[in-house]
Amino acid sequence: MASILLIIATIVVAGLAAVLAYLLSFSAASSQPTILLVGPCNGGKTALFTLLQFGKKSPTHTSQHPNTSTSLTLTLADRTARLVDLPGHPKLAHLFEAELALNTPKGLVFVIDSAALARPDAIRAVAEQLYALLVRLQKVKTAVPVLIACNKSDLFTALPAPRVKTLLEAEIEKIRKARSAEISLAEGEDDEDKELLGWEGEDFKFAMLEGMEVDVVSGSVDKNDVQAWKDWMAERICVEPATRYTPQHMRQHAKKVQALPPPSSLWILF
Amino acid sequence: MLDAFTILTRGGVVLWSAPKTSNGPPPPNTVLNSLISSVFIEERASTTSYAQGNYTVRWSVANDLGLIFVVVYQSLLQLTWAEELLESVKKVFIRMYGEEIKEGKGQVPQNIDVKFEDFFSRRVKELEADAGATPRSPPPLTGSPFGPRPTKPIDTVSTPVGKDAGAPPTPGTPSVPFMTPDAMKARGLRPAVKGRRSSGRASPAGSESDTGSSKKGKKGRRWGMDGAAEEDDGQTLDFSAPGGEGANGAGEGGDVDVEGLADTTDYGGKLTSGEFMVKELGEDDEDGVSTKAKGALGGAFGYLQGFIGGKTLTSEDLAPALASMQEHLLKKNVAKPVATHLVDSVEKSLVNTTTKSFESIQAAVNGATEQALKRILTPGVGLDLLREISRVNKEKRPYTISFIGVNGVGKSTNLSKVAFWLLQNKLRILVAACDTFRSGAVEQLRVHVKNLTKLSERSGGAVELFERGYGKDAAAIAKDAISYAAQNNFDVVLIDTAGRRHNDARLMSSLEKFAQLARPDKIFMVGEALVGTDSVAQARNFSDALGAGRKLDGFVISKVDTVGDMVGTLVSMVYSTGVPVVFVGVGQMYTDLRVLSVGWAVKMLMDK
Repeated sequence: MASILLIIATIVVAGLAAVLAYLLSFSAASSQPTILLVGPCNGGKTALFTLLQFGKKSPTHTSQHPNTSTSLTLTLADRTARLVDLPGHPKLAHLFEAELALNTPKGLVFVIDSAALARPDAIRAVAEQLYALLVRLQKVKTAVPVLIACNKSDLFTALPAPRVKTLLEAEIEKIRKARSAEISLAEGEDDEDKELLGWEGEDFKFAMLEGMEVDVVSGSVDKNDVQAWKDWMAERICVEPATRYTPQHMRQHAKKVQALPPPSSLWILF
Repeated sequence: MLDAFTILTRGGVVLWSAPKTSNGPPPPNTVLNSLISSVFIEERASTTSYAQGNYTVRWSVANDLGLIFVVVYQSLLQLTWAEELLESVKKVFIRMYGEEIKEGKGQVPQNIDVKFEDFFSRRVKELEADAGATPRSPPPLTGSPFGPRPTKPIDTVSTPVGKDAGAPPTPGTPSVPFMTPDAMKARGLRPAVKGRRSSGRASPAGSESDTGSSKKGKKGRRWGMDGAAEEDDGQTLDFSAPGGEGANGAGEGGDVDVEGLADTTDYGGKLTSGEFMVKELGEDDEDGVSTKAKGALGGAFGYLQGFIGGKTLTSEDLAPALASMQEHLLKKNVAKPVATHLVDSVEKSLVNTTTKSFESIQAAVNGATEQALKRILTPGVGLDLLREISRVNKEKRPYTISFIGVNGVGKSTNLSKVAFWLLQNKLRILVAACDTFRSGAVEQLRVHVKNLTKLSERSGGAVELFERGYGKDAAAIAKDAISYAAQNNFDVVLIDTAGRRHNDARLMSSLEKFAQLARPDKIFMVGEALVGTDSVAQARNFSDALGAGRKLDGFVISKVDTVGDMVGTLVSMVYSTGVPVVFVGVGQMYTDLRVLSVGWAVKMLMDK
């Protein structure tokens, strides 16, 4: 009798221990800072992943599954980070949602092929994807910084980063105009206000996005010219983010000051 | 003779690629990328070979390690040993590096041994030698079993030979060898009948043999009950060739293996003579359950693992879960061939993988099916209709959308709903009544246009009807409507066509003419959510009927409010054609038009 009770007790304890271990492993993964690599197909996300992971770029093809690494170490970062390379095919967009549900990333790198942007429909496709991404990120509670990595800058037809920035802003402005004019039809979702980026009345600029910083930097995975991207990622991974005085900060500071009652009203009370 | 042999992970990283052995430039990256896109992600072609440009691509998958082995060669070469090469290289690679990859868990091995490369090049040489020893090249086209062609052309004879059997050749005619009917039959010629010219070239039978020989090169196709071709690479049907692939080839290859691989004892001694192939299979089975002990204790442990997780899945394990998933899909009104196909692809993707911790087999199957459904229903190319309309309007021409479908699915109703939506966006719309067959079709559209005009008085768009009565040619009316719209600055032209049964060839052929003459920017097929197994045939027939250069641009699934959660028709139609769902109709009022939400649809399908 007692032995059976003992056996049952052991099984229960073992089961609880297993459950505890599972839950702990789950939380451990989410405590690491995460950097996501997203972007349209053929941008160079998986190549960048192999470069960061192994120090050497491997030949790659279209990804079907995400590549995950839990041991991304950068020189300027003070802890190891988790790097996830998500496939760029539109049919696999749900993987991005699943990743966001897991934990909020510390930084998001949007890798694009800057040599293929000469054609107008290429820019349009990239801008649409970027627009959808930014709208989705606006719904996340903590702001996620975005780096637009203009890859393949070693090629002849590659556009420089400032040019890419203006082109993308112009395209997003067009999308914004169309979206604000349209009545949308969405089935099965809660009725939400139309998500718009930036402010009405002015042309769209990345600086308009409140709280979300968007940087546009060139680089080349092929020529191992990714130091700028690595530094950007390291900055975001660090535990203590360096305080930077952006216009955003100044505005918020100004708002706080304006909220104080003017001194003259105090006199009236007396 | 290979253009490329690549081993890559599912994440896209190339582990190893063979040095080129054929002449000419290497195949571009796009060949493999399009293979992955079309076959693995979009599941457009589910046979084991894929053709892109001049190249044929064959592959093999190792699910437990997440690896894909791909071989690329020129289509003209018709390599028969590609499959064999894939299988043997796969087995050796997994043996050599399988552990490393499993332990790595995402880290990929960086140093592929030179021994593997040696093995690879040796294996290729062996297989080439095998294939060379037993020639399978198609017989030359000029040869015929009935002998060489007569050198003198026979069709210059003015009179049929049979009639003048007795007459000697006249000196004026070119000297034609005189043949009795028996001699002609021996040569395979038909004896001429009065009033018909003699059959000219020497061998109609000879030409039959030509097509016969070329048919040997074609792969047989099996047809299922619903008229759809069952995916089969035709291997099992080709019993004609001596050194055939598959089991026969394995035996032959084994004989050659003895000399070639006798030196390489450091492969663990497993690569001995003919046993190479057979032994692998046994070991594969062991590998599948190697870490779990077989027997009663193993059985109980395996059963527990079904709930705890960490179980390596085999086909037998998956069978009951897959059967219940298939039944569940059928209950949701997914067409049977589509459900079977979907469950098969889920099985292929799950075999040899391990379940996660605390995940039962049913949960693994559910998860994989949900992923597959999300992948199917998510459009590959986004469609932003308003942006496209504004882009086309900048080119000073109207944007044309036409609605086709079988009878009674709701083409006119959904056309009006789309018109209402576009009116809310302040566009000028012309509705073209190209249904010239059904009585009352034009009047129906007239009523709709009147209602829409009233409803949109405040919003600022304009809608007008263009009709030419009944009995005229629909394509011509469409063309006139478009030119009228261009002259009068309309933004969008919506074209309503007559409903037609998809198996009526005459009516479907008029669609091709319509597509070519009117050249609409978008052709949407309207399908009702109530339709059952017929959905697959409808979708395919309509997509094929639009001619060579055109296919459907989207589906409008109507009457979704009537089916509740049984929205399987969405999956059937999208899966069988690869065309995305653009709109969903949920009622009979003008506002009952929605865009498909993939999450909602998948939730409806997966909920019990």
